[in-house]
Amino acid sequence: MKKVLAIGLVLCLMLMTLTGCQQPAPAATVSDTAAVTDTATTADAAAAASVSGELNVALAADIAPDSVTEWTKMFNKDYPDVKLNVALEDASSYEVTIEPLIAAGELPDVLGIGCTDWFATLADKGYFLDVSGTPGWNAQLDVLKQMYTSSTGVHFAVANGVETELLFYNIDQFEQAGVKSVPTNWQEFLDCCQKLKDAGFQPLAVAGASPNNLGHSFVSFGIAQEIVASGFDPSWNTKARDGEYDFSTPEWQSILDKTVVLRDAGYFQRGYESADLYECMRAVSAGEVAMTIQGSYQTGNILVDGGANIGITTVPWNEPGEAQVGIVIAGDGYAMGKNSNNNVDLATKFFNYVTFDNAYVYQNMSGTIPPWIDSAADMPNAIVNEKLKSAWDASNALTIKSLEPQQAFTAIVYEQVKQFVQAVILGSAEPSQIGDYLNPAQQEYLATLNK
Amino acid sequence: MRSRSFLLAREKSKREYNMKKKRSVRYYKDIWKWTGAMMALPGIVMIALFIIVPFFMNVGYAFTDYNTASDVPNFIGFANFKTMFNDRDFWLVCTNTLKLILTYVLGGNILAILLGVMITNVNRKYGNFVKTAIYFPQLLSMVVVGFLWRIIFSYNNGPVNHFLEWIGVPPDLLPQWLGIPALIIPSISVALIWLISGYYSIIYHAGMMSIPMSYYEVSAIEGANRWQEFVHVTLPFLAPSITINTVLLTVESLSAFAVPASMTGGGGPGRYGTTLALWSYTTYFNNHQYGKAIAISVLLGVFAVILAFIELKILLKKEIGNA
Repeated sequence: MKKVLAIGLVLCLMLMTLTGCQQPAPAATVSDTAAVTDTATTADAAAAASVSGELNVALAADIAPDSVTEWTKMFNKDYPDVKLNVALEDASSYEVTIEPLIAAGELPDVLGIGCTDWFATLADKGYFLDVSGTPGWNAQLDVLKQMYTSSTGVHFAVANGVETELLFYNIDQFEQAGVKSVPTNWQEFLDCCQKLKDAGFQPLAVAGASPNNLGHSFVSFGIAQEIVASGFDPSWNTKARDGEYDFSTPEWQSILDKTVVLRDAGYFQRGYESADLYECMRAVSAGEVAMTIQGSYQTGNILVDGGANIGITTVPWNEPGEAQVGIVIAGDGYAMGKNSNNNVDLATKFFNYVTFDNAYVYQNMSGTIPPWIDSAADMPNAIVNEKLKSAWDASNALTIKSLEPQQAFTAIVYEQVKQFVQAVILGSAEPSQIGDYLNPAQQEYLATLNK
Repeated sequence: MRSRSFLLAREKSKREYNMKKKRSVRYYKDIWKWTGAMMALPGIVMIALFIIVPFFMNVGYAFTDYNTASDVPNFIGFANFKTMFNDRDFWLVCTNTLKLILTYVLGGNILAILLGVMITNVNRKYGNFVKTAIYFPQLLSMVVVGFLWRIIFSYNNGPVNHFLEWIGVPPDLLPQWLGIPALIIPSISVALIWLISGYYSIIYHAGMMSIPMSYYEVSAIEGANRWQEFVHVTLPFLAPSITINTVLLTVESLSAFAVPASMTGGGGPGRYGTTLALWSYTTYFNNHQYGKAIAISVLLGVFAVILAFIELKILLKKEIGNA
């Protein structure tokens, strides 16, 4: 009996292994999500068929992992004689994939990257090819071109979307609490929070255990209002990248004052200190908490089928009479790695394939805002959530713009920003201590520049 | 009577036989020696290539401005160590690591011994099931274990807080296991102990199985109860297992990375859930301060050697025969 059981177990394990080895079918193929416009003529197909070679690519599989599968399938079909080696990247930490490849001298021909100073530094050091002149580069928004240009002028990536920070709110709970209209300034926002609290709702979901998220939301809008919109130092990030910068001024010391007001008034959800990002978004989509401030890229995680009735609006961090500020976030991008084995022509073909010709594959699966100047012409079939689109249009129409902290600070300083904002949320640091956290990190950053 | 020549011939033949035998033994000894060396060679090469050489390279890089994207690393003396010691979080991270070592080594050993006793005493019918159940967590990925315990300790939806609520703890008094600085490291420790106790209990179980039954028979005749039997017979004989487990647990807690990282979302809030190993990782991959990250890992290695040395010095003395 035991033998039979043992043999059965081994067979089961083998079957499971074999099943696991099968290529998973994409959850939603391009043909399901969009009307595919097949523009390839017979002549194009013949030309594509004559192309041969080998390509190493590393693509992110985070927000829309099926897009990688779909692109691979499509490319293999269009270029049957090209051997495409695909490595998957973790979009929350591209460096973990890229670092060892650089150290081994095996930078992929095409790779997914984030819009941070580290990748700009790599571009300056000659690790990426200049992609200006490619159709994707020409078509993307000017702000994205600016963000994907290194300090020495290398145009190193094409973004897969453009994002912003928005306020997601529960329409039904607003009505029940007697909030007649969405808040458009800080005072209205506080009134709204109080009404929600009085009505028995938890006003604001905060991911206290996700420092990156705190950086995106509270620090984002603190800088947007106190440093950029106030006119104190709109170009602070360029200065901080290039040399000495003092973060202990009164303006910087006030960027988290409003966060402390919200915390002290008890507007954060119970257990916010240990809530992570996904717990926070789940609480809002399940109707347990009324509002949250999140990146537009999280729309799909908050507006879920069968969930709460959620609306989207711009974040009212401005005092009455002050202008609102829009946050601009470059979507992750694609770059072309430079190494001695490069088949540049072939790499360019794949680069254009994913960044422009078939960029809709990722766009439709992720639901992001297309990165193009003229979306109607460049991506006519893009599928974007209507609520998100109108919120993006409203945010984009704001005349003052500020960058998301992760993309504005250098990596060393941003790591301390995360520590600082969490310390303030926990009550173990005051907003006025910002200089104690950021200035030493700025010095460490400068030391790396001088090497 | 045999002739002298016959005796001489016999003596010669005997000598030759002995010489031959000696030569043959030496021959096979030599062969065996070389075969053994050849068989160990792949292992030695692997250890040298992937452990010893990188270790010394690491120590070397800690004194340079090494950067993946830089051309040639330059010698910069103790600058990386100075940056590390001057970091505002240095003492907090060291304290976290020491707290983890204390709770993990102590808790891990106690639970593993208790489980070892349970395995040894459980009857044969259920023995294998109990052993498998206790060992099971060891088969899980550390990241999975981290996320699992993150859910278990979740403030709003975790089973621990649901249980506390069920027994009457008011919602306002429910602890935030992963949100209050004082509770974070002990919570991580609980998860790690759950993960490893099965493995270490097997070592203790093996130790208990090797204790001669006669000692238990004598103690029974002397009228010892179960507790006295455990304290005066089992524990002294387990001393070698305690020594090895303590050293292994210490080294493991120093290098604890995946569980704290996945449980606390990267070592937070602040750096209250960050251990030295995790700090080295975030310094490397988030800050891109390679020299500093390597300096932290060198410090970690020094800690491991010092702690293991102290533990061995103390525990070996306690073992039977060494006292």
